[in-house]
Amino acid sequence: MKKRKLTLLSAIAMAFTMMAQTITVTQADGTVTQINASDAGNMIWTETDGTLNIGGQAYKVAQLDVDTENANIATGSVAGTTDAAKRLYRYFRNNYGKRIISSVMADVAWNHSLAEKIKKNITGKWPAMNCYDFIHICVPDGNGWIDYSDITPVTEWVDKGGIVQLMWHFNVPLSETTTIETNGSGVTCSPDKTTFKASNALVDGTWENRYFYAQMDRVIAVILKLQEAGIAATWRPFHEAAGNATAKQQANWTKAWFWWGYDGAETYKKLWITMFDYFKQKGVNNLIWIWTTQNYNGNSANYNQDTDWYPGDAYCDMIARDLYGYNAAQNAQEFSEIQAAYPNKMVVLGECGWDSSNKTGKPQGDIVECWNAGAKWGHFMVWYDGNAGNKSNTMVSDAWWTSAMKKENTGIVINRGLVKY
Amino acid sequence: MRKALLLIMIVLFGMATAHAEEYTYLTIVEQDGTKTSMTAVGLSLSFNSESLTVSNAYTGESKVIALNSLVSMNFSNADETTGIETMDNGQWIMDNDVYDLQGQQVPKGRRLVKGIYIIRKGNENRKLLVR
Repeated sequence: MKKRKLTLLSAIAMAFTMMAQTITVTQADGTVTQINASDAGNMIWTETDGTLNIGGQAYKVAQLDVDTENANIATGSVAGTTDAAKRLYRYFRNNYGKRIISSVMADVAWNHSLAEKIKKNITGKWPAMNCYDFIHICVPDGNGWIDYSDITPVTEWVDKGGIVQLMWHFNVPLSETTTIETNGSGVTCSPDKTTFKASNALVDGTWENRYFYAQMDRVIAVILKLQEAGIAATWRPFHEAAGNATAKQQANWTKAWFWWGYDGAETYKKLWITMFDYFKQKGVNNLIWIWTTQNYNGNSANYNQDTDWYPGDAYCDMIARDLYGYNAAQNAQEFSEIQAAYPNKMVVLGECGWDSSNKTGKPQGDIVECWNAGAKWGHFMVWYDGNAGNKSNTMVSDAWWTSAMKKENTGIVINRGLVKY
Repeated sequence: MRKALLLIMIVLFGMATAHAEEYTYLTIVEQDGTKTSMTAVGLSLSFNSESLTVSNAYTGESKVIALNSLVSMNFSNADETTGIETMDNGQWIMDNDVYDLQGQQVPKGRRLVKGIYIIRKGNENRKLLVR
């Protein structure tokens, strides 16, 4: 009897999670209206006045789009206005809650070599998305080992149908007088290793301000090149900003671990918005902005949420959480908490892998188990580890990748071969 | 207690079914009675002064219809496409441009396995059911 009750309740829960569709009607005068597909009825076309009758109302339709309802999730990106960005956002939204987009980090920065290892050494399938990092954008040009102006590592990924993610470990010099060497030395993201002050980056005339804008210009130049090539990307700058600052028991170590969070939530939000506005001003319109919430590995017992650090609904499209060493139930709990806090944004697993303090210790939960437990992340992204000693050089086992990418799971996990937008 | 539980479940079920209707297709009806069902989610319909272009980037389906031949559209869960062509699996494709539902063109001369394909002839698309 108990089992039957459970089955019935599960069926009801499933019915609740079924998603209807929404029709977005754009009229010739630019007016946009959203209508539930179930309310549309038989839509009659009248040739004489050029109107389509939808649910009893006549519309002079210019464009009509049919999408998964996902009622709470914003229908458009905050800054992604290129055709490619609109299509990419729509693709994420239409899959949100239905399937998870697989992804992996570059081998540090500007390549897709780990994705290739996953395909060729383990699974026979490419992850759907590859994440590139502007961590070395500060290294002087002509360094002989990394050249972001050559966008081939991205275009060849896109040409094969892959989705692009860009992130930025925004390195700063150790001090105003430090010379950044061509080997990449002389920079850091750690606030305790630099005199660079985040709050000064927002003050005209400071060296921090000049450096901040100069580095943004370098990144913008690359992103505009991608934009001209018709490429859109998800964009995850200034991640994990709160660091340990939200610890419930404050101590001398309960601080941000990246410089962009070190001067507190207010400065951090201004940095984010300054970047957002500057990118827009420079014509960057191909990005889906992802903000990474942080309460130290999802440890809500010892850390408060960092909602005070959120730049605002107008400045990001998705909310990420970076989790290491979390099992399926913990993934589900984190997902639920974050979705409840940000109900109109897609929630993604920004980074994942084993507990970095002990790679043989707690692993990232099997992604399908996570999904079935309720962690309906929009995407997952596995971090790299050159010393992992496995075939993928990532922070999950080969068996983890095999499970995630196997044929039986393609109804849940999207690989590159299934991407189409 | 059991009655109360049952009542709650009936209410919940009513709410669920009232709000959740996922349609598989949007069917387009033309003056000559032709019906074309296309995968609903991801569908984009663009109207200009003379024609309607319907495409689904996720499946590769596309169709152009003259507005003066358009009658109506409706959502459905059944493929109402008329004039669907059928053939047995294992046959070769020789003359037509045939695409799978992911939009990938099937090379000419290849044997078709079971499934649904799109045959493109100019601006006309027809569905092909391989049994």
